[in-house]
Amino acid sequence: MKISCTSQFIHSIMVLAEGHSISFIAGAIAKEVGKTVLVTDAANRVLTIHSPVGGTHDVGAFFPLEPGKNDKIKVNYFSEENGLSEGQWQTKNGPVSYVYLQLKVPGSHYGNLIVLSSLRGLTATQKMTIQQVAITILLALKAQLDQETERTSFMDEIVYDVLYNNYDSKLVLYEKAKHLHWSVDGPYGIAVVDVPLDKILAAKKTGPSQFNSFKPVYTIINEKIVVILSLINLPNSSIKGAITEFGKEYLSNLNYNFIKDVRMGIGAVGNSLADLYKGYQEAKIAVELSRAFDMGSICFFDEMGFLKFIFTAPAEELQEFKNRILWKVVAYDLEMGTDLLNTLRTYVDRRAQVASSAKSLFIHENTLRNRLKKIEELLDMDLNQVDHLVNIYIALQISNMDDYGEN
Amino acid sequence: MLRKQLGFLFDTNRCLGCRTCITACAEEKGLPIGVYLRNVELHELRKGAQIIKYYLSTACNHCSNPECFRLCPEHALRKRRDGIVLLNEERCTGCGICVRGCPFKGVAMNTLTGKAVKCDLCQEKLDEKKLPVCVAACPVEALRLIDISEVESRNLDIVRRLPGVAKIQITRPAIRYLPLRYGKQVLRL
Repeated sequence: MKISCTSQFIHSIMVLAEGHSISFIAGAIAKEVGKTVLVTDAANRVLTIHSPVGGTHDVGAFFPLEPGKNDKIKVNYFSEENGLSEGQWQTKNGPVSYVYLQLKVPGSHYGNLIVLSSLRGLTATQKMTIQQVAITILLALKAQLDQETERTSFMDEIVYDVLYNNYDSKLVLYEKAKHLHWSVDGPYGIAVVDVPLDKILAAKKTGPSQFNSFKPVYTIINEKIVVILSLINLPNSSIKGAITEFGKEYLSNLNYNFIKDVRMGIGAVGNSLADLYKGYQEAKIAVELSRAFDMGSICFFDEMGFLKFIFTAPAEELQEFKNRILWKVVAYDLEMGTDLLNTLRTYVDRRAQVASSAKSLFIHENTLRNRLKKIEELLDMDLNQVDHLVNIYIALQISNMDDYGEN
Repeated sequence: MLRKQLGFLFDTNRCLGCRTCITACAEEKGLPIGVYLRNVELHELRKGAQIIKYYLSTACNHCSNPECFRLCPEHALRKRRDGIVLLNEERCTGCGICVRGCPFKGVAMNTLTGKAVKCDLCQEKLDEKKLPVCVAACPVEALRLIDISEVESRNLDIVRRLPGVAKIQITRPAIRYLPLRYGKQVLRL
């Protein structure tokens, strides 16, 4: 097969070999085609922008790339057919047309090369130049990513050690902190973000790049993203608000990148690096409970109300409490094949309203009353008494938590 | 993607309830009489008219979210990069919070030292590429050492919980079981 290379492609390869950056190569394309050129990573975050007429997008912001019809097609960088996709970006000054090429090889997507122009605005030679120089940018991105992956895995190990007390002395901790350019003294905030597993790597990259003038640390531990925030010089009264704002920005970035079903748990502030482990454990519990009880996307451990108190109690005591309250109903259900536990759960969830609970269970109100009577008999409790109802409510919440873990 | 997490794979269909694992562990760790890091219990599962009896051998599950680690006021616990949860006896004051806090009864109190003691998966042996003593001692290979992350990714026929095991998943215990095969259990009463 005969492949014709453009002189710009050969030049870009030479430039890459000389050690020039992606930005330099993108600048060369911008100069060649006379249009604004952007390079983004796989999460559509702008890495570099070059405009012969003045830029409109910030480095670090997200480019609103729409999936195009050519996206699923295997990219052939040397094909003479047009391999570019076209899209439109709605700005306040009106729509802006752009063409782009996904920088990908089978199994890996490294980023996108975007040119602010319509397809018609480019000549066949310019299109060919963009396509071919894209492979140089892909190689540069891959090298950058490999380097970053190596650094990230090193960082992940260190953060893991800090969060799991996996060091022999404070001196070792100090050494680890030095690697991360952290101060041993805090305070530090910590958040755990739970996202669908297949999107976790992309989600890690979409986090805000700044918090309180410091770069947040993002790592993945136990299939969840862990974010460590420096709270140095932040007054106590504004810590919570600042973390909430950060959380909202992060969730909005994730939403923008079509990453849904996200929960964020936030633990207590660690006054020093050595105290961070406790906040991490709390943040993990906050995220689990927020999912189990549908408590909103951002959940502070400190704000979990009574759930915080019951779930900081030793798990064995919780189980004992639950079993002591509910075991007779559970045993009856098992023996008789009934579903009284579910009836009781619905009744409590429906604020002890017979009419609403009966409707929800698709049964007659009298049937429900009979079942509740049976439950009262088994539990030896009165469902009209607040203290009895509170005990049942807590036991049911513990049971919900078990079912959540089970699923 | 998944971090290494060592843990046990237990086959209840093979376990005879001989308690060799308990004895081997106590002997290896030089524990005083009556203190064990492993426990073997007979469980009974009723399914209609059917009654199934089986043994469960339990120890520390080296959880992903260990309760003992969270509750310890002395920072005496840590989790190694391979997932093993270790107790630093020098830091332990013997307050017993971890003993009461563990839902799986994985931490015991050493009556000789007055400090907590727990399974460390025989870390020295592991570092020498040998098996933990309980696993090595089991005559029927009911107890095996696995990397949970590897097993999960291979999607083998294993379960996270069996009837009779504490129904707590918030701690993410690093133990897996082979499913109960009814009528295959060998009872040694």
